[in-house]
Amino acid sequence: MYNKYLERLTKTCITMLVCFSVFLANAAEQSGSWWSPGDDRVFPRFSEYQNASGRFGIINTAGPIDTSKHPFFAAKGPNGRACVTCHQPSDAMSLSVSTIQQRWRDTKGTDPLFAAIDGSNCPSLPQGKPESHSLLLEKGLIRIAMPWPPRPFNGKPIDPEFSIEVVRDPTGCNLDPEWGIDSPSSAISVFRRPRPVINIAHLMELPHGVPPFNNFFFNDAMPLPKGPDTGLTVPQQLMADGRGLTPKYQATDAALTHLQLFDALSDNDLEEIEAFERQIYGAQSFDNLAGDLTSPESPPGLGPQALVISPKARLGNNPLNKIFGEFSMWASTADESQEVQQDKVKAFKASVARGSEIFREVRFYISDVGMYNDKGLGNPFKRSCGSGCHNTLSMGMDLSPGFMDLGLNNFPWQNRRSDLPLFKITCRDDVQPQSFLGREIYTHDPGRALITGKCTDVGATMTQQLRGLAARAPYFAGGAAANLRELVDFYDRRFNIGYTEQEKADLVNFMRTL
Amino acid sequence: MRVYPPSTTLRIAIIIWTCVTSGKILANEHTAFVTCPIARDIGPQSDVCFIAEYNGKTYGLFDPNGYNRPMLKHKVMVEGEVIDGEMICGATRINGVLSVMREEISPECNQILPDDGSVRTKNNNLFLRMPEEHRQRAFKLMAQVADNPEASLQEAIYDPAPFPPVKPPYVRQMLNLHYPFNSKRSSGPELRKLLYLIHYAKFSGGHFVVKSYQGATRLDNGEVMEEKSGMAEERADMFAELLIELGLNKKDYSIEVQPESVAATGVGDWKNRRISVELNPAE
Ligand code: HEC
Repeated sequence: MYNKYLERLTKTCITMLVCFSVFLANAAEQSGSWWSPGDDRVFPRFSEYQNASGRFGIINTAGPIDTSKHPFFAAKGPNGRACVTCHQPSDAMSLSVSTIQQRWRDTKGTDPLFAAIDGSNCPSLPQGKPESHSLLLEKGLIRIAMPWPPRPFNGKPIDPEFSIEVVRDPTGCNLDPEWGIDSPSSAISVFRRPRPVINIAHLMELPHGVPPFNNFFFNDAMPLPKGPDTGLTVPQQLMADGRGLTPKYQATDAALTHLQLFDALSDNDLEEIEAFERQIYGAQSFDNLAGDLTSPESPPGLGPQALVISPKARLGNNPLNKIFGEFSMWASTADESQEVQQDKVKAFKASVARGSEIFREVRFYISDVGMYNDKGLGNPFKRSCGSGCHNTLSMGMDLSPGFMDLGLNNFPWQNRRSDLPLFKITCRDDVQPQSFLGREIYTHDPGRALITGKCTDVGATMTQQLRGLAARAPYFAGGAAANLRELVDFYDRRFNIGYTEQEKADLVNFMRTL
Repeated sequence: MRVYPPSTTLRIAIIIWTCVTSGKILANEHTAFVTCPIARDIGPQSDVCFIAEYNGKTYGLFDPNGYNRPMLKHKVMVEGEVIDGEMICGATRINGVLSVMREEISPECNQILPDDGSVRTKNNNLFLRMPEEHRQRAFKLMAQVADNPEASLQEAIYDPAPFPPVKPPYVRQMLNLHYPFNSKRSSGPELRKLLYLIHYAKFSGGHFVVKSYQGATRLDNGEVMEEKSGMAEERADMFAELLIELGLNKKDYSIEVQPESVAATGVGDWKNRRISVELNPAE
């Protein structure tokens, strides 16, 4: 009798304890999820943040940082934003659309994130109304005003090979007398997702083992550009169009545009920003089904530590590296005799292992991709996701650097978007045309061509690292895929791959663990 | 003296007669034509390869410099020697160069032959193409993976060894860089050779004499295709930019442009689309 009572009491206590710790953990998460500029918090050596399929982990190799005065975290400009506003630790140092919506609800649209300059569809719209911020609220897109004609790049003046006409302007910003293409500051507004500011050390390393393309750009076999601040060759992996040559150069531009900080950041601030970007490594660290992704039993390529130990800028599409390392330890099929939950876990792990294999082994015809098939690879190039484009060890970037028009920006491939501006590009007769679309191209984002002025580059944007995907939907530079399944479906349609339902699910499961 | 049986003697005679009369086995035939490339699927583990049909024959298109492959939606110019008896992509190999006709889009060039199992490439394993020492290391790491999965994250592909120091006596160095028709993009392997020349000059000192040419190609059907005017100059400008970026000063080189296309003969015309580089070491 007594014993039973004690047992019940113990059980109740345990339940209460569990509940309380869950409450505590939730409370910690609540305060931990949104990071406002000037939150006097410490950025620890290791931190984890909840997302829909598990947790994203960040290793900060330099140890804890007091962020109160840190230039990445402190509001430097007049609009109250900091870099962290759009590069949130909880969102793999990018920004998911669910976080954006939550922030809108929590602050009734007053957070500096929604600043008129680029957190709205156009600064000339009435601010504070959801319609005026629809691209940010629905697709997670930030307005980027690109100078037209292009500014000199890498020290060279650019003579554009094409003219641009605004065909459709749902945001009103491209025809706006103050902000548009015919305004005194003549700019093209495109709308892009924040890219994750994590594992930047990997992106800043020149490619290894691919001579002479460690120093040369594959497409034209000319030297890669030099960092304006360093004078050193750069891999050109930052930003959708490669314009962020070095972390400092990029940060200077980000401060000017996103923070509206017209006095440049100090040298010291730039040093601190670059150091911070180079010392943080991140990946999904926990999966709701697979559990701890950092345990010794998990595939070595999972968890943030993989990014710390992994050699940088190496070709990973080979029989040893398999791009994200070995997954065979999860390959076992579900054991019928185990209890249901255990089966589910095993089945999920097996699916991830299959996904990793599909990612690197299942080839399809990659065809008619501008700036890609035409750089010498041939059309079609029959490769897999991993061996075709996402080939960099542990990161899944294109080592090349891989600018390409997948058909997300240019017609006719993409799902026509009524929310984005539409431009008509007309190339001069004497220049090399875009290899598959010719000299008249309709596009939502001219991409790389706004930097180089080249007709062949119209619509091309660069591959992104594949880390922390679970924390930062939607995907692609224009936010075209709301979730990983839509992303897989896009490829399946675009390249006629014919993945089975199972293969699609496996790919999604694989990617959510990265 | 050894006496051959009549059948063998006859066979030898036939072979000799064939060689003498056709001439094809002794001297390879040159060819140049523009046509649609056809992609051929050669199985789930391989890139596609390309063939071209011309004058009732099928040729396998070989890309000697790597990564200058034909493209559907564009015609390809094929120039080279027919290597009878050697097959590539299931068809007779042409040893020469390929130029994608990039200026125009040809939607009619759009054929992919499905895999019929008849063509297979040798192992695609990247490791088999690496230097022996690197290969050994990669295989060793692979053997460790079962016990130590983290080995799968170690680098398997290495940078090549840096060029070794150059010792005197320094001698004149010559190099030709070749370009596809109407193109300014040189190939990776030739670029490596140029980098070696620049490395050489760091030891030998000296002056680079550069000449830029453009070419014309006489096709088998008699048509002469000329590169667009100004091509030699465009190549020269780009090359000068390249030399400067590689650390040379303007005084270290001279560039001469040959603005007229070198006349086409129908034999190896592609060799005229070039930049020649001569390094004359300092006295
Ligand atoms: C208003 C939102 C916003 C703010 C504030 C912001 N960024 Fe960004 N960031 C973006 C967007 C959008 C992109 C992608 C732009 C593109 O691809 O063209 C980006 C890209 C980057 C990248 C490139 C990452 C990659 O993988 O290519 C870095 C690095 C970066 N930002 C650093 C910073 C720094 C440093 C600051 C503060 C000085 C900052 N950002 C402030 C929105 C923002």
